[in-house]
Amino acid sequence: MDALTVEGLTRRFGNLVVLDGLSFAVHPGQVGAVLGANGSGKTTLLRCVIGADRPDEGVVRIGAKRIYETDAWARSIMAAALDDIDFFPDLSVYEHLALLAYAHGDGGDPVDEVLGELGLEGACDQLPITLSSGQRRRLALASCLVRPRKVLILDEPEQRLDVAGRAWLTDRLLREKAAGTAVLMASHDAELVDAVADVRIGIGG
Amino acid sequence: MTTTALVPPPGTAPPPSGELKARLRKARRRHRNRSMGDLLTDLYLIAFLIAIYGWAAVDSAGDFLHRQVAAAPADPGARYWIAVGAGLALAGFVWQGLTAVGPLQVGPAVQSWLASTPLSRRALLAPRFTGLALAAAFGAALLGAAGAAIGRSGGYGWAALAGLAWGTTFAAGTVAVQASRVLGRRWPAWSLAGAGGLLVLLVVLAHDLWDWAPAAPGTSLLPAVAVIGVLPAAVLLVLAVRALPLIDRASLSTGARFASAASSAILLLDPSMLAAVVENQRWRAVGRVRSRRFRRGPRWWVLLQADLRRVGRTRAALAWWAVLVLAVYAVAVALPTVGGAVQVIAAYLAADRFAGGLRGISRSAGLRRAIGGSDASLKLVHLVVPALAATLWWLATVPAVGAGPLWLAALLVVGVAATVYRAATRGPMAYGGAVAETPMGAIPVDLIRQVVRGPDLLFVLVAVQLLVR
Repeated sequence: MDALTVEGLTRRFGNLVVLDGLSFAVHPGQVGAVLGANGSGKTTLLRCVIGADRPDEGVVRIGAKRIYETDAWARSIMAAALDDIDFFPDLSVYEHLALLAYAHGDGGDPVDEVLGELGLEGACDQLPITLSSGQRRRLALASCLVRPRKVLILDEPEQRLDVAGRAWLTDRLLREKAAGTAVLMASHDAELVDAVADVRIGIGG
Repeated sequence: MTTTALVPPPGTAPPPSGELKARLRKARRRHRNRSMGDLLTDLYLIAFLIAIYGWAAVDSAGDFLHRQVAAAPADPGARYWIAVGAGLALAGFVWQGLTAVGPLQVGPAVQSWLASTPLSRRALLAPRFTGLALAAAFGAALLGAAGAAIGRSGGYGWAALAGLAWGTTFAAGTVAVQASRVLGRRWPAWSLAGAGGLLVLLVVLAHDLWDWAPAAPGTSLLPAVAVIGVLPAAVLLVLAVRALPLIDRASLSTGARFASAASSAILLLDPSMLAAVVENQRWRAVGRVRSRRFRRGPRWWVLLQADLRRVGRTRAALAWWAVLVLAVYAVAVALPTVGGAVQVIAAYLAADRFAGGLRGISRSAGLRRAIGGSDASLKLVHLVVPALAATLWWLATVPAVGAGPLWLAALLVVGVAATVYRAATRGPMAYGGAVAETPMGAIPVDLIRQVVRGPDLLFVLVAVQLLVR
């Protein structure tokens, strides 16, 4: 697979310029770490890359192909866990993951395996409203693993994870790299970034 | 682990969208107690209430309108063209409203778990689009017929057909532009509102300055309006269906925030939740402002400067203020007997848009603690700007409806400022209080307080205005 490339990305809110002509590339098997202070536009950048927000200028490409969120191919290769994830109140943890795996033609890791890896086996029949914030975060991460992916977009994945969870995250990201996935993630965890990042993308001055 | 209907099948190709949605429906049904019978009962009840109260409202509105027309006959030509202008402007606002909420949108859960998958975007949105188009078409047809009934002009069939055609046009047109990355989404709204406003302004000026108005057409234009609307409705329906696969997640989520706040406001019976989202959207659109030092002085002077700056940053409030001035002049020409009452209500609506500071300071005890001073002094300082807006607005509309006794004008302006104060200083909704049993079901007493606080005083002011003048 070709590299994830961002060219001249600009996003404004009114006359506030959050992202100003940002360009970078993350190749398969690399982790690109988006670094910046609070409010520097890290989440906005990730939202623009996955198409949850429309940039005012600039393009996102995989190789030479421009990415449009409306393109089913783009959605089939790009897995994302951002803070805006929400859940069906009437579906269990297991059903959420099974639904996603089914919708992607079962090309990801097996649901049972992912549940075990993320320590969610005990919560698999729970409805989302009963989950703790940490469990919800783990479910969001799990949603990226039960489906096939060539690009993985994560917004501060270390948030709300305990020490063991952070260790697992580091190991998992290294395995994603080894599998040839291009990972773009925003993070404030210097230890995690040092352990996995190949490309550092500083934004917000 | 619970056995589930969503066990993924072998294979790597994404499944047909219909199969996926069927599995999702099946899984969700297993966790729900609500039967189809319950749903139909609720729908029947809603339709029944709309029919009963809707018919009563149409009948009362018709009676009221014709009483006012008979009491003080106005130039029929001026009235006709003002109604046309108002209709055009209203259509512009409808377009603006539809594009502000999407019009197509999906909830956050669907965005996270379905819209992110390779599921065909057309398959995901087709049922929503069908529902929207049907609701818009038949809702507008009903409104058209109701409008004809209120005007007692006859031609109910043509009015309904016009509503059907133009309701479909608006629903399909806004969906088509939602998908477009090239077309501006709001120019139809500005064009319609601008054309309508200009028409009203010209008619009012011609009437007030030269005592002249263009004649109303001899025959009803409704059949032409209805027939002309069929073509854009058909064309835009086709374009909208073609555009469904191009509607991206960014535009689907824009209106979802608003819809989520609206549903929360309805579920929790707390209208302030919706108002907060609208205000957040407004300030988000502004983005960045130029910060300047405040002129030194006592605390009240600095707070007043901050509130005045807020006014300078809400240009829409200034435009709204001017539109309401024009509305009073138009009503004074078309329905002179209700000009005074409309002046009082519109004065409140104009001044209330300038009460952002008062609302902010009232709803946040933390903000009041941080600024210091007594609650009363803080609220009074933040009442200065809306009171000033009400006074200037009143002076601008005096030529339309007449000055009346000076004491009455002073009383009404002070009353409007007090109404703004009461509305802006509503406390948070309390859910633990008493509940009143009404024909519409059980309603928390505090909700009644929330809704009534402000309009109650306005009602008294309108009554005083009608009795004295």
